[in-house]
Amino acid sequence: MTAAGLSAAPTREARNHHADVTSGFLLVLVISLNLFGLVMVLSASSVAGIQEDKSASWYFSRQVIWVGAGAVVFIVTASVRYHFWERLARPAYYITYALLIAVFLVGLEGGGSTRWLAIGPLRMQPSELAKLTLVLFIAKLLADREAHIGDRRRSLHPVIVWFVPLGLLVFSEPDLGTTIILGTIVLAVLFAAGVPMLPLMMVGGVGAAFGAMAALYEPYRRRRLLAFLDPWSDPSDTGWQTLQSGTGLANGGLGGLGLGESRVKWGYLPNSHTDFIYSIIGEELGLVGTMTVLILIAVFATLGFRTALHAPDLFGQLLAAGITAWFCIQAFVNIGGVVGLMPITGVTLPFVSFGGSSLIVTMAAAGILVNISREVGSRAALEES
Amino acid sequence: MLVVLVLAVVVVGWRLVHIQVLDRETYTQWGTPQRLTEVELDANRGAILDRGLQTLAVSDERPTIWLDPKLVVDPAATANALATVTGIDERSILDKIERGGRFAYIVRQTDPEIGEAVLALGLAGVVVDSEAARLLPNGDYFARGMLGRLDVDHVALTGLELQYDDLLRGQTGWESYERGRDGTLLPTGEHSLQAATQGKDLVLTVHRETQFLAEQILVEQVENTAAKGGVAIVLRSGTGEVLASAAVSADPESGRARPAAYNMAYLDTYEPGSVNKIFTVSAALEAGLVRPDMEFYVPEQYEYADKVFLEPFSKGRGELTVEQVVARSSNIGTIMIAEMVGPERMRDHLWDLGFGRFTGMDGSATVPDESAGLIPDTFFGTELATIAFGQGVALTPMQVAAAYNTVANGGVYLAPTLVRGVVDEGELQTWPVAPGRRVMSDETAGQITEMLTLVVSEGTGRLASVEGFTVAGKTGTAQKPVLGGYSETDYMSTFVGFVPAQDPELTILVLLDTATPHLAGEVAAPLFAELADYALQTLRVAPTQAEPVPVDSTSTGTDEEG
Repeated sequence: MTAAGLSAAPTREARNHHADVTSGFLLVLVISLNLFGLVMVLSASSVAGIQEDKSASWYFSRQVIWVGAGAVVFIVTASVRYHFWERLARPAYYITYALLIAVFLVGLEGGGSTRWLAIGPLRMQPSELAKLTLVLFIAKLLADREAHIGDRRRSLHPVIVWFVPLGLLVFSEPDLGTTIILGTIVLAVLFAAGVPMLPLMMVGGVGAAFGAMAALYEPYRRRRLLAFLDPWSDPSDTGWQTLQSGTGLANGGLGGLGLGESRVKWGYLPNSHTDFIYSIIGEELGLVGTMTVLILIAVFATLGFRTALHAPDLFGQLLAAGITAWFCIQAFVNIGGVVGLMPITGVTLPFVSFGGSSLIVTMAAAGILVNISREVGSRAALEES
Repeated sequence: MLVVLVLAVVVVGWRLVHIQVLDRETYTQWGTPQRLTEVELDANRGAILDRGLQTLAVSDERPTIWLDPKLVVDPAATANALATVTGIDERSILDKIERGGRFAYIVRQTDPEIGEAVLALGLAGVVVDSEAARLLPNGDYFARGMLGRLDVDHVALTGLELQYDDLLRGQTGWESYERGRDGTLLPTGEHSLQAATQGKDLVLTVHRETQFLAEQILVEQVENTAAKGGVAIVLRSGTGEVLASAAVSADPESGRARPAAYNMAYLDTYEPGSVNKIFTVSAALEAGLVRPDMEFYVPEQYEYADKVFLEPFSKGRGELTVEQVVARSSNIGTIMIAEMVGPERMRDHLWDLGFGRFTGMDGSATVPDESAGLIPDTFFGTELATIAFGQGVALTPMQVAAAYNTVANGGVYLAPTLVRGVVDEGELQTWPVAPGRRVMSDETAGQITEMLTLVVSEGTGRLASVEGFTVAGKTGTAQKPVLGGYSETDYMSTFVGFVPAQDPELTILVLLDTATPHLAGEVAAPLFAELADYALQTLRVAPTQAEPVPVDSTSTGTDEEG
C-alpha cells in the first residue's frame, strides 16, 4: 500500500498520459475522416448534383450540415459520461423497434427497398439508429447479468430473443448489409462478454446460414448478390456496379488522377458519393488514398479494441467492443463491395460517405467510444500499479 | 479480434493492389472505351481547276431532304406540301411515306432555296440535312469524259476524279472525346484530335475556253457531217501540256452529239492512215537514206511481199521528190521509202515516237485505262508496207498528237500532260515536267516541218490555213477496218499539225469518225483552223506572216488524199 501510496503521483500522470493517447488519437481520426469525407463527397457528388438538376454543391452543402449536426452530437456523447446511456438503453431499444415496425408498415420505398420514415420534412433511417440502440441495449443487458454470463440461458438466449425480430425487420426491408452489421455487433458483444464459445459459434453459424439462405432464396436477388463473384458474366447489368467500381479504382492506379478528376462518377458508377465513395477515392487519389483510408480505419479499430480491453467496467467494455466491431464490419462490408470481395449491399463507409442518419448515428457512437477511452487510463494505470 | 482485423486489412489491401496496380488494364480496357466517343471529321474534296484556276468541278454543301415515315403526322398534307415546294411528284412522296420504315430520301443535294423552303414548312418527320455535292459550273457535259464523275455519295467513279481521288479527297480526320454516360463532355477528360487533311485542288493544264470551243465546234461538225463522233486535241507545243482534249459522240438514233462520257483521246485507238506517212519519211531522213529533194520514180503499182499495191492518187505517181511524196500523200512512194528503211529501223522509230506504249514519259499511263495502241513487235509480210501509210497500226488520238508535237518540238518527244499542279492551302504548287526524249534530229524535224507546210500551202490541207500564220500539218483519211478488210464507206478523218510552223505554239489534232463527206481536208482541216485561230489569239501569239496568204491561192492541191 505504501508503494501504491508512494506511486500515487506518477500514477495520475500515467493515467492522464494514457487517456490522452487513446482518446486524443480517436478524436483526431474522427475529425480527419469527417473532413476527408467532406472533400470526397464534394468531388464525388458534384456531377450527380448537376445531372439531377440540383447543383454541383447540393450534396456537399447538405453533408456540411450533417457533419455540423454530427459534431454537436459527438461533443455531447463524448462529454456525457457513458453510464448516462445505461438508463436510456432499454427505452431507446423499444423506440427503435417501434420505428422499424413503422417502416415495415408505412415506410418510404426507394431503390427496391423500404428503409425510410418521413417525419415532417425530415427523413430518417431507423435501421441506422438500430445499430446504436442495439449496442447499448445488449451491453446493458449483459452488463446487468455480469455474474451469469457463463449461463447461456441467462446471457445468450435473451440476447437472441431480443435481437432476432429486430434483425428480421431490417432484413425484410430488405437491407442485407445492415442485417449483417447488426448480427456482427451482437456476436461481437457476446464474444467480448465471454459468453461460452461453442454455443456462440453455433448461434453465429446458424444465423449466418439462415441469413444466406433467405437472402439467396429469390433467383433475382441471388443473381444480384452473387454477381460480384463473376461480374464479367453480365457486365452491362448485374456486374455493372462491381466493374465500374473496379474501373474507378483501376483508373486511379498508384497515385490517382487527382482530386475532382474521377471519370466513373460521370454517370457510370451509380451512388458514387454514397456506397461507392471508396472507388472514387481510389480513382482520384490512387492506391495511396485507398491504403491511407484502410490504415486509418485499422488504427481506429485498434484504438477501439484497446478501449474495450481497458474500459473500467463491463458495460464500457461491451459498448466499446460493440461500437468498434460495428465500424469495422460496416467499413469491411462497404469496401468489400467496392473492391469486389463482397456482394453490393448498399452500406455506407463510416464518416466518409454522404448520408444524414448514418453520419449522425455514427458520430453519436464515436462520441461514446471516445468517452469510454477517456476512462482507459485509470483502468490501465490501476492494472499496472 | 486483432487477428481478424489484420486478416481483413491484408485481404482488402491485396485486392486493392491487384485492381489498382497489377490488373488495372482488365478494368480500364473495359471502362475506357465506354467513355470515348470518336467522331469522323470529313475532309472537303478539292476542286478541279483549269490552267488559269477557273473552276471546272467543286464541292459544296447542298440540302438533302429526307423523311422518317414513322414521324409523319399527316401523310397526305405532307406529300402535298413537299411536292409543291420541291416539284417532286406528290404520289411518289406519298408512296414513300406509306411504305413505312424510318428513312426515305425525298431529294438529295438540291437547291439551297428548296432546302430553306422545306425547312420553313416545319413538317413533322421531314428532315433537311446538308450533304456535299459536286458542282459543275460549266455544265454537266463540259469535259465530262476527262473530268470524270462522282456518285451521289461523293465517291469517285471515273476520269480525273478517280485518278487523283487520294489527292482531291484529302484525309478523313477523327476526334475522340471522353464523355459522361449522358453524353456530357468531360471537362478534363481525354481529348485527341486528328484534324482532317483537306483535299487539294487539282490544277489542270487544260484551258477552259479552248476546251469549250473545241467541244462546241466538234459537236457542230459531228452533227453537220452525221459522224459517229470526234476528238479534238490542243497541245502546247513547247511543253506538251494539253490545253484541250475534247471528245464528242453522237447518239446513233437522233444523231445528236454531246461530249462523250469517257476520255476518247486516250482510250480509243484507230488506224491513223496517211498521217503516219511522215514518220516513214522521218525514219528514212534520220537514217540518211533520203533527202527531201531526192527524186525517184513512183510506179502506178508496186509489188511488196507478194502483194501488189495500187497507187490510188493520180498526183502520187511518176517522178516525185520525197517532199512531193508527202505533200501528195503517195502510198507507193511511201512504201518504197519504207522499204529502204527496213522493218527493224521502222519499228524502232515508231516506238521512239511513243507508238505502242503509254504517253507518259516513263512509259506510264497518263490516265487510267489509257490504251497503249498497237504496233507489231516484228513486221511480217506486208506489214512494213501498210504501216508505212498508216494501216495495220492502232494509235490513240493523243499518241498521234504527241508524235506530231515531237516534230513541232524539234524532234524531242514530250509527254502530253493533263495536270499542271495542285493548290494546297491557297498556294499553287506546279508539278515538275519530265524532260523530253529526242526521237529525231532537229534537222530531220525541220525537213518534215517543211513538207508539212507544203501540205497546207499547196497540198491536201489547205483548209487548215490560219490567217497570218504558217501552218504545218497533215491530212489522213483512213478506211475503217472491218471484218476481213477495210470499209469502202466509213473513214476516220484526221487533220493534225502545228502552228506557227517555224516556232510552234500549238499542236492540234482533229479527228472525225465516219463523217460525210469523209475527206479530212474538208471536214477536219477547217476545225483545225478554227481552233488554232482562237487559241493563238487567246495565247496572244504574234502573226508570223506579214501578208495573209489567201486560202485558195494555190491550185496544186488535190482533193485526193490517202
